[in-house]
Amino acid sequence: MNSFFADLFELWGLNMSVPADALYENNIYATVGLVMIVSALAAFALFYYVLNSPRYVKPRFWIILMILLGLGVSTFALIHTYNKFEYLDLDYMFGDYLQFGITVLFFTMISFFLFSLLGKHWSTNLKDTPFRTRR
Amino acid sequence: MSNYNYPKLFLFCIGGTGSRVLKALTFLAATGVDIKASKVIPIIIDPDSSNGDVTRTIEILNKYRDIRLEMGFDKNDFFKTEFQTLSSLDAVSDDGSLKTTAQGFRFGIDGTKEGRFREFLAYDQIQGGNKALLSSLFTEENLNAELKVGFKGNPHMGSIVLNRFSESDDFKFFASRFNENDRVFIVSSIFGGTGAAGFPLLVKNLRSPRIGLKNPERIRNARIGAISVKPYFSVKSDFDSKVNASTFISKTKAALEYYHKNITGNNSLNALYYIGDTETLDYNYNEGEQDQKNFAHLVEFLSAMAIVDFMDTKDEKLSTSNAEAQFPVYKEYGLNGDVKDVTFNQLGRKTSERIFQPMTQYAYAHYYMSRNLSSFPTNQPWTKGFENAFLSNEFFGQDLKQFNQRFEEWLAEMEKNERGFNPYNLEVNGELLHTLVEGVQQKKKRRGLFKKEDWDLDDFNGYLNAAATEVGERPVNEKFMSLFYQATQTIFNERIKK
Repeated sequence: MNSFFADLFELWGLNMSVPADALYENNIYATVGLVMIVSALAAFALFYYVLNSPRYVKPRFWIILMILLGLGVSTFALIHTYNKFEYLDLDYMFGDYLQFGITVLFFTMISFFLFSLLGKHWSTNLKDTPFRTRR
Repeated sequence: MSNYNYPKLFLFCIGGTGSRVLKALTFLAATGVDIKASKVIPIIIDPDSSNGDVTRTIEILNKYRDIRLEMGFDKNDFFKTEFQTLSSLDAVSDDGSLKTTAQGFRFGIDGTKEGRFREFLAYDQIQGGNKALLSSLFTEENLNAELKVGFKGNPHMGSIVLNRFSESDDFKFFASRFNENDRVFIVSSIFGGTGAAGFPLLVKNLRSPRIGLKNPERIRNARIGAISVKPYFSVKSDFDSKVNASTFISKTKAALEYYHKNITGNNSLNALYYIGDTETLDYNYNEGEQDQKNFAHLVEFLSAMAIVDFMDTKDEKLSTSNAEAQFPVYKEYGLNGDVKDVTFNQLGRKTSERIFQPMTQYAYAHYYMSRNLSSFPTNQPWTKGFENAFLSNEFFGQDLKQFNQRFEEWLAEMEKNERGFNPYNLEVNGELLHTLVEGVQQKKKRRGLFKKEDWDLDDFNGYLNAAATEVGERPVNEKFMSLFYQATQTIFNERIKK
């Protein structure tokens, strides 16, 4: 699982050469990846099947939730990584953390988008949010 | 029960009141009130050929029929009852050499389209004693009256002219199309001219059909109901007025006395309903034709409910033998309380059971269509399949929109009248939709884990979204009405039903 998320987060050659090994060796990719997937799934389920309200059909509500989710998961990723590296006495630049945080933010939003696209059709009120895909 | 198992109803509407009651029945049918008739065949009898009340009613009936043509009824009860013209029965029947001359819903009476009463009587050609007799019965003003504006409160004129209708081709055609279990209902006022004269004549012609008419036994023993509307509006005193409101009560008494001998006294009717009101609004007098457009009134609305009540009566209770009703019933309508502004709370239990749900469903559907549908809210799933062009097409943009405008005018007129009927507040904003039905506290419900709340326009969209899964795909006009029927049905059951 760690390898899977490492491949994912390091996709497209994002420059994480400095902390990448440390992230991998300390199993941080797996922890953050798992939290990302579970959170995106939970946010998707909450939006489409718990709230499932005609009040939230406009795309702005879905976009706000996606951004908040991305920020939440990346904040967790940063705090978790920082604490772990502090404990191991590893010292990295703020820019390195930020780069990792942005990557997590990006993939969290992608995950939420994909879950939405695949699972919204059974929602009574929100199946056409953020946009209609039915023919 | 499917509508096809019910009998046909031949509905004779005499005079201005007859047309206004027919208008009320049309609106009730549009809301889905169950009339228990496979078809309603309205037959308007009014010599006043351009009477505003009549033309308005016919316009509404035509719109109703146009709308109904586009609809299906497996998921929808709006516009469920079929209204047909007498002449259109010809088109669906494979029998008969007789051709009706009825133009649409209006019954043709020979000799009333043009000319004065004296010409109808051939007064100027009559000589001697007969002329003297006629002179003693009719004033010069009566003799010079134009027949195309009706009888202006002169039933003695009406009884002469309307006696012709049994000879008309329309009446013969009606007789030829009358089936064993079909029913007849007659609507007329007792205090005017056309209705007061036409009603007993029509009953007489039905119970004693003249020789040569088809199906005479069926007609003689038909199940016949009627409503006789007593005074419920007044006319301002005016020097030029040919109608004097102060005579309404005395005319009513005289007519009741006549009915006692010739209608109720000989059990001619299976059911006779009486209605009237002491609270009245004074109208300006007008000379019939297009100017005669009275405000809709609660009495007309309740008179339409008499038709529903009659059609809801079992066959056995309306049996007739040898042209006499076996168990004649006489009914009067009473409100729960003498109030100036009537809501559903003042209507009787049975009336409420019949109309509260369908009318409320239609009022909510109309509210949404008229106030929230300038364009489709595209992210709401129920709108899938609808283009904004739908809102200006013939079905919605013309027929339904115009019909609903008339529906709202009808409600507004009843509210303004005395006594007023004010069941809905259609001016509420979307957040207060739960207050639209006057005098009814609607139920609150939880939204997810949150506290119980009233419902609003967003929830209406939610009900429509849920209805969309129920209704499925079908032709767009049919789908549209089915969606609103299903959604408002759920709203009623979840929020309003006691």
